[in-house]
Amino acid sequence: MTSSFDAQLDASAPSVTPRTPELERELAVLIREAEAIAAPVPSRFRRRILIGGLATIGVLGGGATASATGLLPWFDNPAAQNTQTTSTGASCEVKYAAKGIEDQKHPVDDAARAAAVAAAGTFLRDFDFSTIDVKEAVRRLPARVTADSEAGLAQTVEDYETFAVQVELEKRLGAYLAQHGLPAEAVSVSAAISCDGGWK
Amino acid sequence: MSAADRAAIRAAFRETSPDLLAYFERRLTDREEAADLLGETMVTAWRRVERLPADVERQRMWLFVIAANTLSNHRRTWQRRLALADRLRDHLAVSTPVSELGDAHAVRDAVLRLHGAQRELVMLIHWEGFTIVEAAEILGLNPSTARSRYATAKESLRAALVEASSI
Repeated sequence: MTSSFDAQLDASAPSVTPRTPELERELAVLIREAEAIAAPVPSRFRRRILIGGLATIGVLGGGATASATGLLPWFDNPAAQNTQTTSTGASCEVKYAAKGIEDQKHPVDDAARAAAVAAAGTFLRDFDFSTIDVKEAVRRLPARVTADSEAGLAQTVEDYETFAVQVELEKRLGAYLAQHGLPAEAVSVSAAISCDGGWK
Repeated sequence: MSAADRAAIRAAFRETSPDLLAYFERRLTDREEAADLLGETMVTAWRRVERLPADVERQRMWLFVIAANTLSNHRRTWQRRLALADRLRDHLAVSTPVSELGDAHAVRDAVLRLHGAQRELVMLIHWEGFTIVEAAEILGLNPSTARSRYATAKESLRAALVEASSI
């Protein structure tokens, strides 16, 4: 049984910052930043698939993992490849591919999807990355964009800036497919990214 | 480091970080410094993630032991300010602490005037809500030593408060 003296001692604790949603958010940011410092993902290719402005991301490992998730290592033979130097001076190798997706909100028959994916592959192969103004693409991207569905916000400059280019690339691909009467919603853009020095 | 390790320590941080923050806030004059030490605790824990216990309650104890060591190191040596904690520092700087109870000040002053080893024990038990055995573990004490030290501390506190009220 707690005595009144114990209760007095309990109540003597100095007040602390109230536990509000804002504090919870700040703690979540701190947790992610501590992880980025203490346990950066090794410099392997990371997969990012852009679907309607949201991205999923993961580390591409060996064939077993890739096969199990239906993601064969397309990055060994990508449709497009670009070396992007970020504002931090990091050199990032980014590989892109077009993949067919099924969006229940925009049903597309298999033939149309295959045509769209083929056209997207051609578009990527012929794409000239020098036509993208990286600074402008970065400027258009929201400040705290979610580029990582697992960890949340883009955590590094490299992540943020390569994502900006990917968003611009998909935007142009969408316009190209629409021009040719093909369903853009049947195609996703996958990106595999590796930056020198690893992901910090 | 496996994906399971990463997921487990993230969950442990989500569960425990508000209490860890409060732990630092109650022990530091500069409340914003608490953000730095919490960040440092997290980085340390990440680097030792392979030692994270499987049991959730043990994870909480493990993090508090790291926090106690971090605080101890902080008090011994000059700590560089961690840029990673800047955002949280800013949040703490503008947040208003919850209001205080009437005579809490007098009791707290008495607690803070205790001898260092007794003081930390009382704080862990009454401010952080640990049992005597848990507090002993965090402080690296034998439980029986902690019990006798705690009893002595309470006697000292009673005497100090009686003396203060008679003045």
